[in-house]
Amino acid sequence: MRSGTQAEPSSQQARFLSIIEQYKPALRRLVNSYETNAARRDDLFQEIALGLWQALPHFRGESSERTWLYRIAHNIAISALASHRRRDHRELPLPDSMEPASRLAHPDGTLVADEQRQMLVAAIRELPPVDKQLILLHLEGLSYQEIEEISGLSESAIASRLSRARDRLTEAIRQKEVRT
Amino acid sequence: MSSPTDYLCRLWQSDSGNGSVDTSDLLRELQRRNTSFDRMIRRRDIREIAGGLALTVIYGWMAWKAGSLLYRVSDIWLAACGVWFAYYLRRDSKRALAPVPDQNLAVFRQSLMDRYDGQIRLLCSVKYWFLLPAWIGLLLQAVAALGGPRGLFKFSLVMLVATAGNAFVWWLNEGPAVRYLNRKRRELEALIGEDGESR
Repeated sequence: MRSGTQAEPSSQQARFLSIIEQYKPALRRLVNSYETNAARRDDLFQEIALGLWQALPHFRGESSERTWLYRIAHNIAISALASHRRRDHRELPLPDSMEPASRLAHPDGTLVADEQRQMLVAAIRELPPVDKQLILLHLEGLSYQEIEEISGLSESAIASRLSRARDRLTEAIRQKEVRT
Repeated sequence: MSSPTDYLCRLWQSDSGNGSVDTSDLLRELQRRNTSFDRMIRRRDIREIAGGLALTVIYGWMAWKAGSLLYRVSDIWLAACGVWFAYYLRRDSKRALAPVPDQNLAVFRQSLMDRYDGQIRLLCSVKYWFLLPAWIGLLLQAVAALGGPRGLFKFSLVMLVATAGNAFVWWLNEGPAVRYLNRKRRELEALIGEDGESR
């Protein structure tokens, strides 16, 4: 079993906190695209943080910190998705607690961008898991080579899946805009 | 003019991620979860080993007190079975640990599926690693009983109970339990597979 106590604790803590600080917005966006429920989003964020904490002593820098982090985050998110789904068969579904755009919007006219962002998140959530993972990595600005390293798929497979996913996202956003 | 992809990337990254993280709270929570995870694994290990070793202790004691050679042999066999069951379950539970998340996504997805395959294989092989050794031990006990008073009756009773019990465990494992796991595996495949359903 892996434990998060093998490296020197204080240096490990400092490194962990710096990683969390650096990637917090990206991890929040990732969590948001996997989980619709606010409480579960916090849980998932903590699960990912725990996964990183436990894996950090074993990180030897064979890959970049960024690809290592996204591998762990997506793998934990997909595991959580599967286990929540199993639980959902026994429990009543929880309401979608996504913040309404009006509450997130700033008074300076960013409402439109917020609405579009929510449409984008909603469209991403509807993608099949592998496409979702690829598009999230792509939107975070990772190169094809990095996505290949993280996903284990070939560059050509990534390119064709990304092209399909982008078309679906653009179309979904367009349709949602028409409806609203 | 920027491409639609650039626009999507900019839109996506303009979300700074709602919700603050108190790092000291987070660290405390992580240490708590880490400790409770370690404790859970230790408890499970102890439970699995204790079951097998309890069998070994009981039959070891019976072998010590046995009145005939055949009884002693059967008790020693069943005591050894206890060690074998504990070893086999421990070995299997190590294999069935949750996959390490720092591997690539395709390998990780496959590992999640492999856990189900491993459990299904374990249940389908229960007749070899559990039922057969236990049945042989009970057969030896029944044969040992033949030498005593009402030997044929005791032999028939032990064989009947042992065979019926084993048949029930066999059916339970290879029937409902395997069907349940196969269904769960299909659900998981639909959820996280290459063309899994959306959520």
